[in-house]
Parts: sequence; structure tokens; C-alpha cells
Amino acid sequence: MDGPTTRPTASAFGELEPSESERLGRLGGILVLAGTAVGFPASLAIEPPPGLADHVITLLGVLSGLLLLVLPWRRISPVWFHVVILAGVLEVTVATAVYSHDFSFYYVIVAAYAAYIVREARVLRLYEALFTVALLAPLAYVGDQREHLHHVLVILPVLLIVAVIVRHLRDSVEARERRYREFALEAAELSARLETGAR
Amino acid sequence: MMDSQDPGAFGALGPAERKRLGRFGGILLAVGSLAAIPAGMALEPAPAISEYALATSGVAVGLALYVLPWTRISSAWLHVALLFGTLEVALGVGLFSDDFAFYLVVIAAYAAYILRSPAAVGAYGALFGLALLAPLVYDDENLREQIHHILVTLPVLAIVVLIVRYLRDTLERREREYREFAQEAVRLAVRIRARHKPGLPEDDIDRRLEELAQASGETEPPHRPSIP
Repeated sequence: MDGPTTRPTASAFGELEPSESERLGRLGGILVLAGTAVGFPASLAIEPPPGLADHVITLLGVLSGLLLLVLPWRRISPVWFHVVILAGVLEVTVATAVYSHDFSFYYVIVAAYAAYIVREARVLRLYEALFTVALLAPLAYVGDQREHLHHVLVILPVLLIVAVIVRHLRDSVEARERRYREFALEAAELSARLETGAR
Repeated sequence: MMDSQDPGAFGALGPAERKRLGRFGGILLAVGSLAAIPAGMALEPAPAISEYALATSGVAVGLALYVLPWTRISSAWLHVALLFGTLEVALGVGLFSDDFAFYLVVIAAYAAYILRSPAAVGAYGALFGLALLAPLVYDDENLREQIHHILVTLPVLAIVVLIVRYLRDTLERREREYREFAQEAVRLAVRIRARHKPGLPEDDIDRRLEELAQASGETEPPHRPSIP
């Protein structure tokens, strides 16, 4: 899994400098930790409260979040970002099955993270399909299918809209950044031509 | 009503940016309201046709916001999308299903994107908090369920707002750095040009420098003789 350590690497996540890989990887770890931490009080409010064994999910969430924080992101392959997203999906899926279907709302956080870090549109669409399937999965085992369908029909648009906002924000500002870089390079080139012409 | 220089809740917005943000708000409101219709149809019992008036009004207000002459009206109109959206969600939660509170996340993400003043961010944060907590006042029967629902929604809302805010701030900082770099490069080119002008009759360079200076946001005229 180990990739190059100093040069940017290209993948579904674009060309990433090692420092950028570290920033994005740690952001994933922070999100997993934060999501797990805030899910804990919500699980305590369920009637009847979950058994002690059910809180293993919280423990696993904390451990996986900490692991993502300490991973040597500068040295490992960007493929590990897939692990972050898939771990997020898995955790939310288990929490939805064990605690309550309200927990499927946490897919919104995973979707926002994916929209932020995935560059390749095809890969992002695959992830969006995965989130949709994961959202629909409880229809296979819940008693009140109609209530869950209502739940899915509320969450899915929110998930997609948030992903679009994050994507739009990232793309539009990056486009402006690219434009300014081109201006700067052209001005620098003109300066060089002027210097050369004056000699 | 013109306020391209007024640094209010949304900062100093140029007409084009105001139009982009206003239309974006209109689209979000219309799309969110439309998406609520199938979700409402899945409720048991399904609401009567007349009860879709709320979603329909959301679509209408969203479309109205889209066609508003944003380049000529005040940025204050951007509040309409935020306030109407919050009101629509609060009514949807009270009349139909507490799941509709999830839509507050979309409004909060939009607010985090467009608001610049910390006071306005705080005020809207308080409003979203109140809208989320409101069912605790009128739904005594399902108090614990409501608390659970709020404890799931509130953190997701806060995390999404932080992601949008962080993303916007980080990317804008980088954009600023590149703009300053571009302006510095243009200034340097202008200085070299001014120094060697007599020997360089290249009008295309002058013209291009002027264009670059304008495009990069450089306010100083590039051919000002006072530049050393």
C-alpha cells in the first residue's frame, strides 16, 4: 500500500501533495471521532436504552477515528482515503441497525467528506450510489417500511444537496485560484520578456 | 437599494456575486420544497392535497428568489431565503413529521456559505437552535423521542456548518494568496515596463498588462508614471 513519499500522487483524489494527504486524512479522523462522540448522547436518549454491549460501536468508532489521526498519511497511498469513507459508511450502517434509523442521518457527514476529497466525478457518483443503497438497506429488515421510506426520502435530498454545496464551493474557488495563478505566471513571463528586450 | 459597497451580514458583495448567491438560495429553496413532496406522500396517513400548500409555497418563493433582479436590489434580500426556509421547515416539523427538521442542515449550510458577519452567524445559529428545539414545547407525548431526534440532528448540522465554513475560509485564503502573488507579478512587470519603455514600443504588452492588472484585482493603473 505504501506509495511515494515526496512527489504528488494521482488517484481518484487527484494529485495530492504529502501535506495535503495528511490534512485530508486527519480531517477524516476528526470527523469519525466527532461523529462517534456526538452519537453517544443520542444513543442514550433511545427508549429502551441500548445495552452496554451495544456501545461497542462507539468504542470502535473512537478507535478507528484515533487510528486515522495517527496514520502516516504522508507516506501511505491515497487509496486509504477509500478506507476512511467506507469505514464511515460501515459505522453509520451498524449504528442505524442497532440503535435507531435516525442515525442514518450521519451519512450526510460522510457524503460531505467524500464530496470534498474525491476528485474523479465517476468515483463520487459510485459513492453516492453506495450512500443511497446504504440508506435504503433498512427497508429489507424494518417492520414499518413506509415510515422508513419517508425517512429515506427526507435524508437523501439533504445528503445530495449538501454534497453539491461542498462540491460547488470547492470547484468554484479552485477555479478562481487557478485563474489567478495563470495571471501571475503570465505577468512573470511578460516581466522576463521585458527584461530580455531591454538588454 | 444598491449596496455593492455595504459590508453587512453578507460582506461587501458585488452585483454578480449577489446574483449568484441569491439564485443559489432560490434553487435550494425550490429543490428542497419539491423534494419534500414525495417524502410527504410516504407518510402514514398521507396528507391531504391542500396540505401540500406549504411545499408549493416554498417552490413559488424559491422561483421568485431566482428571478429577482439581484444586481439591482440590496443583499438584505438574501435573508428571505434563510428566514422563509427556516419557517417552512419549522411548520413542516410541527404539521407533518419531525424528520423534516433534517432540512435545517441545508439551510444552515447555505447560511454558513453566504454569511460573513460573526454576529449574523450567531443570530442564525440561535434561530436554527430554536427551530430544532421547538417540538419540545408542543410535543409532550414523545419527549424522549424528540430529544433523541434533536441529539442526532444538531451535531450533524454543526459538523456540516463547520465543514462548509472551513472549506470556504481555507480556499478563500489560498485564493487571496494567489491574487496577491498575481498582483505582485503584475506590479513587477509594470515597473520593468516603466523603466524600459522608451526602448520597447510593444503596445501589446502594455495592453496585456492592463488587462492582467484588472483581472487580478489590481487597483493601481499599471502605467502610472509615479511607479518607480
